[in-house]
Amino acid sequence: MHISLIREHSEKNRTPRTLWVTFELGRPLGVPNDPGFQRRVVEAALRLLESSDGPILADYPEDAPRGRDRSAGEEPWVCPIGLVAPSDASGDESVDARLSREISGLAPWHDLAVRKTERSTVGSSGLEMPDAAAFVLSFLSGEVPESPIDGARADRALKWACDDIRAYYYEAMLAQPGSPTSGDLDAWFFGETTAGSVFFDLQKVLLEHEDETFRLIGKVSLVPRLQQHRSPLD
Amino acid sequence: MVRLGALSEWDRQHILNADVPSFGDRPWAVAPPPVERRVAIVTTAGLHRRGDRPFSPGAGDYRIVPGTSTGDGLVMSHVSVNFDRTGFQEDLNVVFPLDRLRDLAGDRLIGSVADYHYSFMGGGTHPAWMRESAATVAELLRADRVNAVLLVPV
Repeated sequence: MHISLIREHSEKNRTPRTLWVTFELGRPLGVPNDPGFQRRVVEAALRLLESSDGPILADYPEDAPRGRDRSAGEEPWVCPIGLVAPSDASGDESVDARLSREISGLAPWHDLAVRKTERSTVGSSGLEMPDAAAFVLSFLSGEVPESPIDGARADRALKWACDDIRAYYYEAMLAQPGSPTSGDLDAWFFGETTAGSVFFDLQKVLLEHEDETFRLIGKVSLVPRLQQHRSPLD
Repeated sequence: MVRLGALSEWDRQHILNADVPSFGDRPWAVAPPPVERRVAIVTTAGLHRRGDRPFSPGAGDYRIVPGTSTGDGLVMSHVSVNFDRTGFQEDLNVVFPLDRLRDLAGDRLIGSVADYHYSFMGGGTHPAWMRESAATVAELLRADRVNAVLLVPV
């Protein structure tokens, strides 16, 4: 059985038993922490096994609950702790210091997130958060630093360190009061945090890099398309 | 995903222009009765155990996810940043429904859950680059007596 997030692709490749769902990319089972919802999706996929003829492309009938609807007057999500937005930051403090302070400020919330979920998805790079941040910042000079990960090239270490930084920030926010959507958190990270501004600075450096591998990271693996409009370059 | 009409023009064109394979043959297998089904998950979410080699851009290889895995042992090194990861950060099962399969096995709605599951990384990797690994995984699934597979994208 195949769960499909893109019906148009499934219409073309016609795998034997396909269940198309309308959920957000990244959420093929629909809703986190809702075992009943997830189970209904899995059971619908399993029911495709009862068919004696195919290929089958079935539409799952249930949509995932939507986030807040601002057009219906619901209040937008606002980060409940007072990080200093990059645009408000004093010019007296280095970006290294601001990023370090931001990461430290989020630590209690990240600790709480780990206690609540009994897990963390931070860890692709294997670096501690201050080390991941220092490694990412070291690219801003335009030089390629030595990879801090045994056996991994610097470009790959950079991508994994960036993924870890985002995961750390997002997990910390998910532990806080409120129910931010993924779009809320993307807008917060890339619009309001020092880390987000570092990602844009890094993207600028990488897009001008002589090595195509780094240019590719800057182009597709750093900033989501829907957040690209926040770039100072745009 | 959200219906194409709800997406930006760029995303809509990106999806519609993707190089999606169209298979010439139409394989079909009759499924065993529910209580005889042994089910595995194969994901393209770029999941792997913490400490495993992360996935690289264009990777066609796979990682093994033991059936005893829990959420705290799995991380994601997918190359794309254009899908939601907050669901995964909150709950492994929204991407990799291992607990749901365990629930169904406990309720005897399936026979059992596989000892091993498998993960690919589906971003920037043409499906043809996974062909060899996919054939290997198919043999491994057979060796694990798996007779039903849930293929899950992100």
